[in-house]
Amino acid sequence: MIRRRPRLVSIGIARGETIAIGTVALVPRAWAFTVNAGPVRLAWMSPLDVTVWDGGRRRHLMVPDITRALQVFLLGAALASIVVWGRGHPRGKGENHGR
Amino acid sequence: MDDEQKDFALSVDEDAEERLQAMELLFSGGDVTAAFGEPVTTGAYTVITAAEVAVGGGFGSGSGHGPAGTSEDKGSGGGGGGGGGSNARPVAAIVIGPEGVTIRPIFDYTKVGLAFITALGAMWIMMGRMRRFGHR
Repeated sequence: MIRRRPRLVSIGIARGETIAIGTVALVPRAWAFTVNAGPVRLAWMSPLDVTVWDGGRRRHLMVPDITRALQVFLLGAALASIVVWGRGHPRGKGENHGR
Repeated sequence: MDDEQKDFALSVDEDAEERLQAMELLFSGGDVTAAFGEPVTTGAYTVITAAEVAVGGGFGSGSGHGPAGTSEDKGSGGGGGGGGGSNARPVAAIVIGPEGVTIRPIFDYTKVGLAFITALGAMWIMMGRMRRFGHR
């Protein structure tokens, strides 16, 4: 549980119950974000990682979100290119800039 | 209201109650099962899906009275409404098999393709506008 008392906005890591399958035990964790503002409720949860106990070995396996990573990369590239081109083309040369 | 209608109304109430309970669990922020599905076993393999889940909802209500006047002019009314939505997107599959535990990412080509086209379009439009300003 990430929340011990009701909060307006809460963000943190939520740990799930242990899942036992044969000799393997897994503990999943997820990012969790909640908003509880009066009549408005929002909740978002995204997988973070899985701790695996397998034959006495303990491992942390990340859960990669490739789709989201590429989306953020493309958005960042677009914004960066616009900023870079904008610096190379300063405003003030146009006819509607009070000059 | 006859018995059939009463049964139907009761079943609708029970369904709504169950959904509300499920939503409350998710909103409480402690239910990781919303992001990690139940294990599904097929042969020697067990698969657990991992998904990004987002839920939102709200409601509101109000009431009002008419201006004070004669008893015939007096009026009052009230109303309420609510709405909500949810979205789930698969992120990866956790596969438990004879060779151990592996995580297989799930790649959404359509979403990334649309993001690529949108980013290229935005860059192209901005480049065009900046060139136009530069020639003035």
